[in-house]
Amino acid sequence: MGAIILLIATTAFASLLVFITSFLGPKSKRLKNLPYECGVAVEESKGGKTKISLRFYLAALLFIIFDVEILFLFPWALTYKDFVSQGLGWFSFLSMLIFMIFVVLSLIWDLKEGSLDWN
Amino acid sequence: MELTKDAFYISIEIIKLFTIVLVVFSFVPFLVWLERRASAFMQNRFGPNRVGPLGLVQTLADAIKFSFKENFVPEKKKAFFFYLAPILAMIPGIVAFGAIPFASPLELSLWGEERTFFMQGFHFGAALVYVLAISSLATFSTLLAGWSSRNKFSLMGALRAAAQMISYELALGMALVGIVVVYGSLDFSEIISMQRGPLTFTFFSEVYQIYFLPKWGVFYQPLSFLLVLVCIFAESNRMPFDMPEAEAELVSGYHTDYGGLKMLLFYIGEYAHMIVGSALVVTLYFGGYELPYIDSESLSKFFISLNVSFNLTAIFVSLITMLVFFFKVMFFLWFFIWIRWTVPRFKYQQLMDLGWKKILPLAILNTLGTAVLILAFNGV
Repeated sequence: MGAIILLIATTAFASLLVFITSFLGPKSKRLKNLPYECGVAVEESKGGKTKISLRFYLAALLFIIFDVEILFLFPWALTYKDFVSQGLGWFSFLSMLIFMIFVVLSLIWDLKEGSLDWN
Repeated sequence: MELTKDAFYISIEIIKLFTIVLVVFSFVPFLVWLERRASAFMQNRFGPNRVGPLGLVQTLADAIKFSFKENFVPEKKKAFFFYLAPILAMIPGIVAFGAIPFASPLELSLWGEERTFFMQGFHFGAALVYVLAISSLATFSTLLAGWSSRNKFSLMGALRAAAQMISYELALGMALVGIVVVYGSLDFSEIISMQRGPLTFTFFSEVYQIYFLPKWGVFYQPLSFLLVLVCIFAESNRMPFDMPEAEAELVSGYHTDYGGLKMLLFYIGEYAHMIVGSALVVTLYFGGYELPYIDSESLSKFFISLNVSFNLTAIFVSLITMLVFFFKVMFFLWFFIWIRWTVPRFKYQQLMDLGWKKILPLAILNTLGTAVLILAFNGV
């Protein structure tokens, strides 16, 4: 609930500022409102074939995979000390280790395969 | 009577939330002033010194000037997103800050009953995950800004920024797993209360205490602290990692086409991100709002021994802890500014290599090492 009130308050305040600036400032001419660099928009330049490195897409894909893996580690981290204090530490540690081996293997594979090279 | 009580409590909660928004908004001009002033002194210049004492009002004057700037109106079909991006840039910093406690809980006796006010926007258990989740939303505003500006430089800046932020978010999450293992909790209030008292280690169920050091998270997880600090620099696009705005290559990155108050909103967003990052580091690794040797309980005992009334004691203790938190956070904000004017910018490929090939493996090693140590010595 608190988060929603904060969200609304922030949005309202920021929208007010955006509204004020379009209200107070002088209106600009049409030509001034063309995109930066001679008014050529990115989807129009080179006939709409502006090339963007595929690395960004790969980075986003890898991010999703690893982020989900990290999410799975948080519940383990929360309960690990309880397991240790009850004498079940080895069980908890080994199950995390098996999971971690797969994370590390996939990271090594990505490094070898070159999808993390930005040269 | 019941109704007025409820109305009072609810209005207190709402006033607290609005105060957080206003404090973050009004704290940023001061930080901008500090940054300009500090950078000037580091480069043997004067910096802003004309408007107000020491130039303190300069940033406010700037804000007034910004609101009278000519407005860039993009093409209709992308205009909505163009206006949305700066608003979205504001949200993550401030909404995430709501979950971080900035003073010890205020226990007042009102109408003959005791009542605890948490000195934070809202209090709930999984606060650490919440802060991580909310602050990663900043990527959206960056991408929207770059895409809706419709020029190549903005788009490339936005893509760089997005790739950088998500890469370092991974490393940040992984580095935080180590500290979660040590505390066994995601609740900030609990984490802070665990950092009271002198440094304690447990080896084979025997307790060793080091009296001259406080029980802070840094001493348990030094590597994790360093990694988190670096990741927060990258997350908030600050200097050694401010690739998206590299003005020599990309004009001004994703806010090339933004001007006036809209650009100011991006700035406030960036600084709010810095504030949240510093507050997170202080809470997890430096004891949060607690003083190093005197915790809030002994403070309140001290006040009560001076015959101060119960409610006044609570208010004094909350004020003192709030000041402590403020100074701790200020130190890290100063650290951000200090680094910005000391360290040169990386190349983009060095930045990505650092994130994926150094920090992420180190964070995994840190997690494994922590787990092994806890298991081997039967407790931290």
